[in-house]
Amino acid sequence: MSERHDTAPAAVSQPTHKRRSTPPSALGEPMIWLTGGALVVCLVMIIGLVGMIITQGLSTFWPRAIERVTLNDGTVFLGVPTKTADEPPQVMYRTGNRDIGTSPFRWVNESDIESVERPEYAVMLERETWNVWLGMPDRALVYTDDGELTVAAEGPADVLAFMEENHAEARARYGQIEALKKHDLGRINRKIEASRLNVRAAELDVTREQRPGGSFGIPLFAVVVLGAGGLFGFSWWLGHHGRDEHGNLRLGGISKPVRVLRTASVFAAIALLLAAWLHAPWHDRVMTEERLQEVRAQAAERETDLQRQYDEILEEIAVLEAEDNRYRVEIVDPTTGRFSPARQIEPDNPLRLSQIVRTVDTNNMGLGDKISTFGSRWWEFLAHPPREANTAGGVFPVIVGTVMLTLLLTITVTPLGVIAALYLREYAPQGIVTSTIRIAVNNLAGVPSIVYGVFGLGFFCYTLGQYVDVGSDPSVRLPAPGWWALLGATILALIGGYAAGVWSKPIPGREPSNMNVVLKWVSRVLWLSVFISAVVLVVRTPYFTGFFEARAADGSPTFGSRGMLWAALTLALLTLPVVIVSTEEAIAAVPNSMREGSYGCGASKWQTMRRIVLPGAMPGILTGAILAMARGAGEVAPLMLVGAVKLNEDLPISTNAPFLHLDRSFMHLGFHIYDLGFQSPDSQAARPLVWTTTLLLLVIVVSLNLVAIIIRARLRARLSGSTV
Amino acid sequence: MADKTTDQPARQKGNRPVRRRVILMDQISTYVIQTGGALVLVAVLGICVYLAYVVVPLFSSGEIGDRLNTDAPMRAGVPVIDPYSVGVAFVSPDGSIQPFKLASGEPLADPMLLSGDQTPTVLSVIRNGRLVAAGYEDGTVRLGGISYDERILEIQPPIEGQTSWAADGGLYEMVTPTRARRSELDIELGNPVELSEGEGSVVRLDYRVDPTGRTVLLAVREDGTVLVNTVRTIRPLGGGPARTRLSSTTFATDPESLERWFFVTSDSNNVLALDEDGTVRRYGRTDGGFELAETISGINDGATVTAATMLLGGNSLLIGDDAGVVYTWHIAVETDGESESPEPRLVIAHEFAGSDAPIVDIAPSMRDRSIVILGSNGQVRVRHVTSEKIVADFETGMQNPLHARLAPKNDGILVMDASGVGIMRALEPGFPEFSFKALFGKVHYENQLEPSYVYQSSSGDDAAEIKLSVMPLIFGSLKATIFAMLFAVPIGVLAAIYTSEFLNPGVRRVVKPGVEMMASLPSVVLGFVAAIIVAPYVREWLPAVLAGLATIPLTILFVAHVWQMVPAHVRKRMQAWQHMAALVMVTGIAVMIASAIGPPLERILFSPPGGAVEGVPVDLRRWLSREYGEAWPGWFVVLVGPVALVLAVLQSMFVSRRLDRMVAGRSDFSVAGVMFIRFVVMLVLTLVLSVVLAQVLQGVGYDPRDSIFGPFSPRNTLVVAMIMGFAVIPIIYTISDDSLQAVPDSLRTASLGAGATPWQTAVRIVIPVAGSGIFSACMIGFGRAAGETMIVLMATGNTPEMSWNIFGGFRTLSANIAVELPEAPKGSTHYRVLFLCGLVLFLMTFIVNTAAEVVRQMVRSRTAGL
Repeated sequence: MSERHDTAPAAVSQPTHKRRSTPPSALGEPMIWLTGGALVVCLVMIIGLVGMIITQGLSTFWPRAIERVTLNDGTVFLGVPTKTADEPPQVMYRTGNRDIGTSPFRWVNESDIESVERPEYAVMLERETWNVWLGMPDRALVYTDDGELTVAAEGPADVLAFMEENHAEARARYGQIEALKKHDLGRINRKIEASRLNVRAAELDVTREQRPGGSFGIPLFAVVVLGAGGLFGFSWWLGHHGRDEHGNLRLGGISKPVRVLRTASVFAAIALLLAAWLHAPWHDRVMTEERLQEVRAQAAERETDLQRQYDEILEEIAVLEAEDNRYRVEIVDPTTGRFSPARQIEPDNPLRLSQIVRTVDTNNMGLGDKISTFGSRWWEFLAHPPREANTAGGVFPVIVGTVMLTLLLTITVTPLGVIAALYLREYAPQGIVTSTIRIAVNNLAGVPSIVYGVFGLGFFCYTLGQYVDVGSDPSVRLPAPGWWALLGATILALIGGYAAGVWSKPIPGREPSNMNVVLKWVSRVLWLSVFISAVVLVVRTPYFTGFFEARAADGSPTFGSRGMLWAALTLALLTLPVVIVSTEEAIAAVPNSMREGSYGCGASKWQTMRRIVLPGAMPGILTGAILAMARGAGEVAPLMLVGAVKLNEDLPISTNAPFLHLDRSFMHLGFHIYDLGFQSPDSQAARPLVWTTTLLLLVIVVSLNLVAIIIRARLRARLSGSTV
Repeated sequence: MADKTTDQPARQKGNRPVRRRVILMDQISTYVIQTGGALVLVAVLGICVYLAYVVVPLFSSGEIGDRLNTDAPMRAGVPVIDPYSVGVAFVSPDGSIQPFKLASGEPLADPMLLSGDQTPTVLSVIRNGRLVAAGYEDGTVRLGGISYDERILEIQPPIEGQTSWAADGGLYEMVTPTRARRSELDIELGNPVELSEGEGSVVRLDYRVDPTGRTVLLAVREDGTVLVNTVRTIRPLGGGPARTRLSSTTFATDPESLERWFFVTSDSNNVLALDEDGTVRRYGRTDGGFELAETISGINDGATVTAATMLLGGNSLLIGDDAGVVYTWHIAVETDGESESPEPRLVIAHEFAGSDAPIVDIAPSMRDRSIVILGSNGQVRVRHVTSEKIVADFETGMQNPLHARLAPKNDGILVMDASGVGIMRALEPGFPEFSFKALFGKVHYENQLEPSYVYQSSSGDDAAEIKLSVMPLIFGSLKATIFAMLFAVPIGVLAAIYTSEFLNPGVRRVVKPGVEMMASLPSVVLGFVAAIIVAPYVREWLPAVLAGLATIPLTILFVAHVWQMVPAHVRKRMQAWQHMAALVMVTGIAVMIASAIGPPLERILFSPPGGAVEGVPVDLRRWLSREYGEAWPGWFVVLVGPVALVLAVLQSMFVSRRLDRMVAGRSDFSVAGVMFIRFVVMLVLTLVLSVVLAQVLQGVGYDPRDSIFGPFSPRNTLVVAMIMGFAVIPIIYTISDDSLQAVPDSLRTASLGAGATPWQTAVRIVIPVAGSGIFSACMIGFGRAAGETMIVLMATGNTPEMSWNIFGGFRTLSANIAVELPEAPKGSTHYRVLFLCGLVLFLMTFIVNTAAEVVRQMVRSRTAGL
């Protein structure tokens, strides 16, 4: 599809002929303008929208002047003007100081304002809790070693200097306390939890009945061993002595029966391994009451030990907190005359220095300071977890969640999509069925994402996840003999299907005989039945009681609820059509001459695929993967159902074993926007962060799309150069 | 394309043997790709199958299980079933009660009198004995209830291996290997209460407690006095018998022809008296007491009433007749805004076949609106009243059946005959309230005048049933989609035509990816912008926004007509980007014009009749909520667009040619002048015609505020249409542009070479060839809009209403899923209905997309030949 308008007519009229003028209706000038108008409306909308998001997102963190407003009725307050309205003329000030009961935002009629000034030392404190505080620095206090409160600095300038001097150290200490609480105490808590679960698992094992089937598997085990050995020996014998002497056709040097037998012995060996695993002695170690008591005692001992460690860390924290408590500042609110309290319940205790995340004294700042505040706010936004019900702080866990999800989804969807596309293009017989499937796959790209979410919740979380957690549903478990009989039948069907498949291949160079056709269908039916009975075998197995039974019995399912893994799989399913379509196009664009050349040189089909077709289609595959990433990163609706949550600071990736926590729910940029904008308790305060989050998401999604578009353009240029 | 002859490329007759590894890899890859590919496709298609798998049980009927008891005769009387269906007690008309073990029919205790030693003249035992009222000869009543006292005990069965046994009047049932549940009959009847008025014994009783705890007692005495009492039961703190206080309202009826059944609705405002010939008299509460409000015939002519009861919630009267028909009547209030004092009246909600033989007994379920109907031939049928679904139907073979009851948990049916022999069968009711009709059709819900579509997923209590018709949601999805398409299709298609046909390649290479970028904007961002920026803006500037819809195209057309008057040699110098820049400027001017003329237009068109009224500011939103104003300005706004379109088409059919001939050979300027005049004439004609048509419509009596307009809500369809249009424009644009580009250049050059102008080439050659591609683009856009979730979720109020009001809200299938599925417990009815929403959405988009895809394939094969 190359450009066709190499000599495009100009946007306006055609030269009118000298002799016969063009009739006015043919010119269609107004209609052309109208079509152009439509395009302009599109462009204006997109530019307006993106421009608005960029300006709003970028201006959010820029420090704005703090104004001291005096109203006609004599009220004085400090505020940062954030918004204006026209009718009647109004200004909205951010006034903060929520913990002493004032409303953090305030609409003021312009007519009510008597005077506005910008006091030099007015500061806005960004605090760990209760959001911002606006006030004038008054005093800095330090508790001496004997518990006396002494004034360390007085007057705004000195207080600010004091704060600057001691802030970094106080923050470092605070960070240390938090790390101890979160990291070290968390580790011990996890260990206690693990030991408790261990006991719970043991309890479950005691109440469970004996393993199903008893010794039934042992004779079968022997039969399978003998059968598989015999088959393999026979096929080995045939392979070495049966060449051509039986008049059998050779396939790659091996006759058909040999192939079948060899494969059959492989299947049998798999069955053998399965039997061995299911009936291994270590599985039959019965949990008795005595052993349970033993386990309980061990757990109790361990818990005492852990509790001791826990107390030690608490002591360490207490020492640090005592030091932390010493540094205080008084920042006075002009309206009420009260200083920022340490906590809402301790109104007479001034704020601890360590509680201040950042001091912004805008009126006193030069451009350089402003830029550094701007930068530090962005850094906090990108690299720190949220505070205050997501209305302040950063979005670090959100970014991690989004990135992890997108990566997982790409890792899952790309191979699946490529395999499906290869199958559709290169392996499946081209016919009405294949093109129907192709249309269906195309259409799935248009199926609403929420439908995938519904499916993901129902199938992945509630069905598959529950299976992983607690195993097959007890009400449908097959009795052991029945299960083994079905397994045997399945293996027979598998061997039969394989054999029929081998014999259904016609002799090279000849038309397929009726027998071939019949065998082909027999093989298909057998494969289908194998597939169905394999599903039944898994779903109704009496041998699997889940990996996380203890936790599920405790009421906290591991994989049986919403989580990262299921969200990634849901999105993978959602983006699969994108990858399939894009890969298929790329594979189709690899010229047939190259395939034929490869076959002509004696390459096998797989060699041709791997060395010729896939490299040629690589840009298309990449485009598909990137488009899938972009779609996945921007999708919210299905995530609301399968795993995105409002707040979860436990990252899906961590330094604790097993490092990758795919069962955890996660935070996601798109969902974060929805949550901040619509579910937040203090939506006004959250508004700035929505804009920055939106900007962040937009940057990610648009740049991914841009990369895809560029790759596609390059690919097209290259292919249009090489073909024909 | 796979080459068939190369299926086994390794199989060669060459001298060099092929390496084993190569063959192995080839085989492995073939198997992996074939099974993998097939599995992926199966998995993808499995979505639909899985959704259907969850949904299908909704439509299945219930199942009747095994018989749970023996033939041992128990006792005649009204049965009261244990919550776990292990025991049953019978209340005889003489006021005695005896419990039995259900499985074996052995009595657990001797018959005991409900109360003291007096024999009641009338007994009312409803809601499985939870409400019992007894009336006595001396004109007193006693109120109370029969329940089962249950506790879990650590106990071993008396005989090893026994799972249930009876001992000391209680029934034990093992629940775990070490624990048993003991249940024992617990009878509580309050002290006698003297009825305040009337003479003689009590002859009729009805006793009801509504979910809010309001207790109503209806008593009729021998002299025809009817007493409706609201009851207060006082339980002394220190224990002792509960005392009952009555406050009553009375009215008199004729004692000679006293009706057989008397019922009181649970709001205590209506008394229904039913006679055997089917006459229903409703006495309604007025300020001074009760008055006969209406008399109707509750059944078909010629039939006789054989059974009657009230449905769960106490608001619907069920009547069964000797023809086997069941009728449901309830009281509905006329809610039409016209009448001053809404008058409640009896409405027949359902009429269906209950049995093949005369009905002997009807009993409501304790859990939902199901009823069990017993026929005189022993046939038992369980039907859900609202959905009319037959849940279960079986024959007992009983000769003389008397009572049928549903177990308290709806998990069993007990049928008794006159001799005291009972049959208890297990029941698996499934989802009785759902049928195809209940989900997709109009359903007559309780207390409504007529069948309607209602979606109300949570029900507060017994009286309010869950209403899950998915039609309002489908309607919402369609409404959102249609309005979005009205916005997106013209812009998307016109922009694509311009890009493909009139823009030079250099600009096109920048513009097209730019518009495609629109497609990559996450919908959550669009939804956020719609709700936070667009919705308040539209609210503030509503007249200007509406005016802008007209001024933007008009200004562009106006400028184009003026531009035509510029000499051709100047015009030809204009580059593509200059044209774009000019258009941007014109659009800007148009927006300014819109904001300037919006408010004046609002004053002119939508002010109260006779000019502005003091204290009532002119506001379009007030007009919309019918506070003042006439209908025609609304019609005018609606009609301008269509009228302009029709006039333009008529013009091109009849006027255009003549005009062409008329101006042939004239100078460019005069041609342009004539066209300008034509434009102005058309504009004026459009306005005039619209006003006239609007006046006519108003004269006929139509008001747009009934349909397309209505009360303004801040998050409305207009906002959604604009933003969702924004979301689908790039899809329509890209696919349309691709199909326009796929038209071979040879066609264009031939047309241009034959002397056609680019516009003629575009309209007569390119667009017809690419037409089906453009159509499929619109269909795909439709599919995308129908399933869009976040925008509608954030930018509408999500109210499941069914009106076309463009300033009102709606709830789409997708938003409904997003809102409700996270809270719906797995496997519940609600959960399944939400899956049904998903399935409907899936099928809707899948069908639309398939149609579009088939059309596109057809186009591809057609243009391939060109």
